[in-house]
Amino acid sequence: MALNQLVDSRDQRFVLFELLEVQKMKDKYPQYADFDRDTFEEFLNLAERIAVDKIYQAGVDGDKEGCKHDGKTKKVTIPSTYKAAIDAYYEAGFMGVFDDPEIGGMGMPFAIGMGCNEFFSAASVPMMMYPGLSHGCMLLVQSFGTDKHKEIYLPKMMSGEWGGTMCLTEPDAGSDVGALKTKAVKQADGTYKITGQKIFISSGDNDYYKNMVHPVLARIEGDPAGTKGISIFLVPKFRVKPDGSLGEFNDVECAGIEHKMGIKGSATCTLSFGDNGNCIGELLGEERKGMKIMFQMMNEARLGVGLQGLCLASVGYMHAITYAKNRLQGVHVTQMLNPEAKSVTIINHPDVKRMLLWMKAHVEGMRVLSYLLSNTLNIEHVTKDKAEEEKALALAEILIPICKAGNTDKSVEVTSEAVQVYGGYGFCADYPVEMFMRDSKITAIYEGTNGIQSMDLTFRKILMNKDQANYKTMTSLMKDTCAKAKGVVEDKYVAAVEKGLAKLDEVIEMMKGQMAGGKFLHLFMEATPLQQAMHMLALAWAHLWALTVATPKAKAIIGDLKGPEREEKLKNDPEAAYYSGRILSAQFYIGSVFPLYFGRIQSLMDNETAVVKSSEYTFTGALAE
Amino acid sequence: MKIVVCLKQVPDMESNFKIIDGKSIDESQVAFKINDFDNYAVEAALQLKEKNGGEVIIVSAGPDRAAKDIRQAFAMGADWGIQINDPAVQAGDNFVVAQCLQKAIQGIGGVDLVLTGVQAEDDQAAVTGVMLAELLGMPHCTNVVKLDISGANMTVNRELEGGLNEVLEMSAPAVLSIQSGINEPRYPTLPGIMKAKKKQLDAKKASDLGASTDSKTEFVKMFFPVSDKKAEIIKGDPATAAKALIDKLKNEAKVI
Ligand SMILES: Cc1cc2nc3c(=O)[nH]c(=O)nc-3n(C[C@H](O)[C@H](O)[C@H](O)COP(=O)(O)OP(=O)(O)OC[C@H]3O[C@@H](n4cnc5c(N)ncnc54)[C@H](O)[C@@H]3O)c2cc1C
Repeated sequence: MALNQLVDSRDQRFVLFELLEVQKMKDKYPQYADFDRDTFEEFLNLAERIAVDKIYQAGVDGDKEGCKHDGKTKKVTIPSTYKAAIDAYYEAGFMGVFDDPEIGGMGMPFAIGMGCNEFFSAASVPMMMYPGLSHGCMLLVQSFGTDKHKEIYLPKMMSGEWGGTMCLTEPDAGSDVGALKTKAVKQADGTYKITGQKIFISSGDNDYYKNMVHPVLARIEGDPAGTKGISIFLVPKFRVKPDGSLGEFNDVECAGIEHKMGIKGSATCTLSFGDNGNCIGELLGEERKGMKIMFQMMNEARLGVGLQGLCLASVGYMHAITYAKNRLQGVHVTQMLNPEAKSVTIINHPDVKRMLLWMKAHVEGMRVLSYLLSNTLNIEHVTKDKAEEEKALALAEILIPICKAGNTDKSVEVTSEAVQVYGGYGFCADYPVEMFMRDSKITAIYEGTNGIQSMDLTFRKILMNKDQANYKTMTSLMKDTCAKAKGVVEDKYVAAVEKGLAKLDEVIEMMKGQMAGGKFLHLFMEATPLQQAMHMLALAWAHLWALTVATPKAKAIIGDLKGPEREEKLKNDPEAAYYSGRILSAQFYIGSVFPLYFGRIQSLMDNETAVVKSSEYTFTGALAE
Repeated sequence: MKIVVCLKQVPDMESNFKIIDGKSIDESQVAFKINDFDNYAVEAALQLKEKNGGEVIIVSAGPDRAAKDIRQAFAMGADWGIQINDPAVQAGDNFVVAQCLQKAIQGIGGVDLVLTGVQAEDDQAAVTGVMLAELLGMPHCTNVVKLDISGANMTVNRELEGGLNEVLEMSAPAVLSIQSGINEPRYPTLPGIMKAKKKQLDAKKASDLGASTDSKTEFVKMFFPVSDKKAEIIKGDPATAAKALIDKLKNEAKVI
């Protein structure tokens, strides 16, 4: 654990070991018996070292170099700096950090895996997409592949020899996956001939992996339209011989790559399957179960994208702190009339401190949320206790869209604020903050746009969920936190979260009425505002939890020191500084950001209908096409 | 080949140092790590083992906290180790440490090669390796930047001032102190970290080894170096300033 430009590793430890208490999992779940706090520290420290030494600079350079597509050979070249960096990730064994030891993983708790990945993705989101997508694909093979698939594919994917993708999107099938046209025709030998085009496929083609494994959503000839008729196939770039060696080219060509505003090192490919009628796929799972299978991977993928949002916010915030501590500009506000006054570093200006504290409060709140979600999915996975499993599943279900949409939307804002702290320099490519801002936007779009996430939250996860079990599980946890905070945390912060909870109950009751009354347009219109409000409540809750734990610890170290003595203590004692800062960001969030929540809630209760009434004719002045 | 690497745990030089009573540093604010030079020695040993077979043994004198970094070397691939964990040795000087290392290495028996770092980042004394060679009665080379071994014959490049190298032929067993930059030390791996927990680490005291804890030097005081000279900025246009500078170099500093 050291100072670095990526992640406040002390805050990460706070979330892991003081809030979630991951070190206690070994007492409860036998598969974690070998893992104590020291082991976790070693894993996290190694991730931090590799991220700082190998990945960060390669990522910054890779953004400038970008990916290239050769129109003649149809081959894609990724940034030259990536190879050694991705090698370091695989060689140290991080691909399988929380995977089952049966497939060669390290079997760590998910939250520790997430801790490692936080360093890596903060160092480079686009670079980590290569192993990230491969990981999702590998788990798909693990869960749904045949024994033969597992035997051949898993070790090669674990070692980084082969990579993987997720092939859903087509030109006419973006948010509406059910509209896809890619076709599968069954052959006499049980395999399928695949034809069609996929677009926007991350890592679709590249010069890092020796073979690519594409899980492709397609419709078997004659199957029904819509999502019901979708199956999923394993389609390798090169065919795989029975001994696992590479066979002939499987007619999967990269027709081109996108030129994008961000994640420039991640190749976003148009893939043509079977242009020459020679592309063979094998069915994963059963016919017409493609969406169901894909959905099983969706939780991990959405958690992953929520983490990308957190990572970009974190790295932007870390850079902003360092810049603000060094950039001399303007005199201190108390010295404005003194012509002799010397310039101060901008971190001394109240408005810059406000920006930094706003960023800090968001990054730390989102960190709690992401780690809590991964830990919840972990418990759901390993517990033998049915009630605990159900509770974990309910909580995870509702947190997934909140975390994915909320964290990624905020990531765009936090990285934008990082540019603001840098002033004009931040707008220039000499500093990496503009890259973080460019990279952040995609996180709000892919893996289900945030609009789609908000609808998932409103309908599937709340209104259509039986007895609102998901919602009640989450709010009862929040109420527990309020109860524990009483007497430890200043009353006004507890009261704010309690009031927030009561208000949300009113909104949900009202929405249930609208649902029963068939006011669907209204509900669809309010899905995103509801998601935004719930993300704010979730962060306020996370901060109240943090306050409950940090307040007594700060008191024990700092006591009643005030004024210059307190400053001296904070200057010399990193623990005192950490806890004080953690308390301030929590107080800032609940006291200064969270009041906006009540305006959002008011707007939901007021049922303004302008959106429903507006139509394509009321948006005037733009070209017809 | 049986290779011993002598490893020292040192404070991270970026830590916040506070001196207590002019005697020691306040460890509560200090992070510890493997002495950077020793990391190169570990890597050099592992590469030799990969090429020639054999085992890599870590010998380290240090308190409880040093075990973490010995295990770090295990996680990189070293096989087992000895930790000389004795307050009397900690209080001693480089000679005490060298003597303990000597006895520990002799106790292992049949060692073909002993590698140390050129120096430790903290005291920068650069003497322990040389003392150890003398005590073991083995040939020794400092500042090693290149190393080729075939059988008992070694060709060793020793770094000299001005970018020159001295090439030496030596024969094992020998003690070499390894210069940074000789290789690129590997990272530990996650499976390595898990395996490291189960590797053998023997704890020894000076008395177990039959080593003396009497220092050859006397510790007087620990203090931050005070800089009492200040930079002076010579004012005036370039021609006058240059003149004034030459005058000062000649008459005040007496360097030209
Ligand atoms: C860089 C990049 C990498 C990607 N990687 C992959 C990948 O690896 N694999 C893969 O399969 N796909 C990938 N995608 C595709 C990505 O998932 C889609 O772009 C995304 O799902 C949105 O689809 P679309 O672009 O067609 O937008 P559209 O679906 O056309 O959406 C446009 C807008 O309309 C809204 N909208 C659409 N339908 C509805 C509705 N029913 N109700 C309300 N609002 C709606 C959306 O929220 C959005 O704001 C990637 C995309 C990019 C840009």
